[in-house]
Amino acid sequence: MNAAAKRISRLINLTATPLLAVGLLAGAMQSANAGSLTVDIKGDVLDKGTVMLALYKKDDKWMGKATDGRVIPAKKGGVSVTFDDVPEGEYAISMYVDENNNGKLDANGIGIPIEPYAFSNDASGAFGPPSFAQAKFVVGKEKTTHVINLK
Amino acid sequence: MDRRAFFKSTGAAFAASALPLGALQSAAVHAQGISADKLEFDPTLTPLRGFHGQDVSCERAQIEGRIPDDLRGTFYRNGPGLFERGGMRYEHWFDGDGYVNAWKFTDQGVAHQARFVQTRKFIAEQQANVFLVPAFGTAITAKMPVRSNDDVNTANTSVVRLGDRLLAMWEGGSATALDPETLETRGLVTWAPELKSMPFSAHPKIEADGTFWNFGTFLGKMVLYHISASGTLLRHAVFDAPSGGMVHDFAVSQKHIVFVMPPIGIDIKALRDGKGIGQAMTWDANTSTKVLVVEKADFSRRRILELPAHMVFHFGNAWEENNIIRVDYVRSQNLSVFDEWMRKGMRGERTPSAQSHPAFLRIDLNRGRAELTHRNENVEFPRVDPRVVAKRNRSIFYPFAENQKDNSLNSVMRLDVDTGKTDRFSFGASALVEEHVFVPKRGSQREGEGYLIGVGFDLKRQQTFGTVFDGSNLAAGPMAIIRLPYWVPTCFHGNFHASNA
Ligand SMILES: [Fe+2]
Repeated sequence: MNAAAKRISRLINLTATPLLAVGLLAGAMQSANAGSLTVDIKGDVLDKGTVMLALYKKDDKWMGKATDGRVIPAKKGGVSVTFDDVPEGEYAISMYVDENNNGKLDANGIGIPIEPYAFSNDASGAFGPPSFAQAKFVVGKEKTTHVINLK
Repeated sequence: MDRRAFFKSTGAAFAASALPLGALQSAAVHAQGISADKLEFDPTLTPLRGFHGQDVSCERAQIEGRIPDDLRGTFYRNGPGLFERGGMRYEHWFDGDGYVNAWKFTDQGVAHQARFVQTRKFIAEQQANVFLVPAFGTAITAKMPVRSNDDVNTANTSVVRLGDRLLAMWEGGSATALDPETLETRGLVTWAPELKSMPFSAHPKIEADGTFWNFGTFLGKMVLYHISASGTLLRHAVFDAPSGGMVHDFAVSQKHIVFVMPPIGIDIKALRDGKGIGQAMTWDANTSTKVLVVEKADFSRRRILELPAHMVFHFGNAWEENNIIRVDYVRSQNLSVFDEWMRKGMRGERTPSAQSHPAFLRIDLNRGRAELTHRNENVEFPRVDPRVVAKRNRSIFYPFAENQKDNSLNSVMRLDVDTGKTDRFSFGASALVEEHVFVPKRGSQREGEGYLIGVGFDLKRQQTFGTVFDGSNLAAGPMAIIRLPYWVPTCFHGNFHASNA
């Protein structure tokens, strides 16, 4: 492996801790300044498989353990996910469509994902995922809707 | 969906992959590029101005001389055809969108048609009328998500017929299938699910029986493809490349696949800072140029030899006898042609390009030695008779520069590799020529018996023309000149597909 490839693998070699007991954590997340967050995922590549979505807040390790997440069947035309009682603040989303339901984002022989994926803000990175700053958006006190366009 | 699968959710999933490799820059960078107004274009460079997305056609080109009765079929060519949008101009020739030309040779004469490949990039940018994605040699802030190589695929480098498809090829991503008759875009070609979006070079090698070999390289990884004459993937392999940079072309002999890999590095920091791949390339003169020899029968059997640092883009052919492989290509000193000449050319400034010479590599597999010799003619775009690909060849055909101070190609040449003799024709100061390809005479069995056909640009008329030479007598001058009533953007490469007799 050459230096460039090593650098890339370092950049993305983030140990993701399983999203432990997301449901159990949900109660603890309620606070006075909490709103709801609806994520609309649009695109013509949602006709098969499962949408895997992870929600990160600012203090989380981006691309590591997420604050919350959803696993929902893909649906032609688009899917919508709502998180209730999300404390105000900055968040970012990473998501992909597990088209063959094998529980992972499949990649081709040189490591490029071959299942649809996206980040909030429709951010794309350079030789690695985009930064939290590129993908972040604000959840306010009331209702927030964020749209992600899968191609 | 069980929860367990979710636990391996997105963070972990992304950790295993090198995403999004097509995204060649971060969002913080401002777009660069040349301001399109006020450019004073040298008239010899008119075809580098490019088009604005329009398709052109001419049903009956004017013919001077005579087209041979057995020259029937379509001469396909491809090159970057569009360089400007919204007042902004690309900085590098390689950046333009693929523009496929078809010169149809029929009993009625020669018809010409050219169409832009409808890539995802082209369609989106055509609608927006600004560049939306980063280019190879121009830093442009992405205005739409770039999630794989194919999101920046321009399909602009060559074109070849394979089965019932016409493949418009780039090198950093998938081939794009077109309709061979109408040039309509059908879509990206995926050879196998795990090969989706993989690099596929624009220089496949096709043996006389149709066996189709190709490769791809990307940041230290290589892929090899063995494809049948009808276009079915037979075998492939992915492995680590012995050097990280760009590999543009290769050669195939009877039993081996040969790569010559110049010491090009990629400055990954420059990439992350928003440079295009072409801008992030580095040249390490202190390292060697690596020769990688792979066995055709077993892609896992590979060996590496070394040569002093030099640059290569294009190969003619390879063949072997008694464990000695002979490879011919065109060598140059370093990357200067790439940087300086192309960048100036895109501004319409005519400037001398670096010299490049016929080179001959001898690989002794028994002794593990590689030796390189070269001639002094100034050439590019070597081609051989398609009947001798991966077999012993006697001739190599090149465009070359005769008495040209700036090394621009104004002539064609056949080199007899056995005797070292050449057969040449020059257009002098009246025209510049592109790659020329060899078309065998119908019914002939002998190498070199046939026609050499190509494209040129008439400097005075400011029009593109086609050429037909007798492949065994170039010095006699073209048998036919096919004049188009317009100019078209300069192409890189192409291939002739004979129609059934
Ligand atoms: Fe080329």
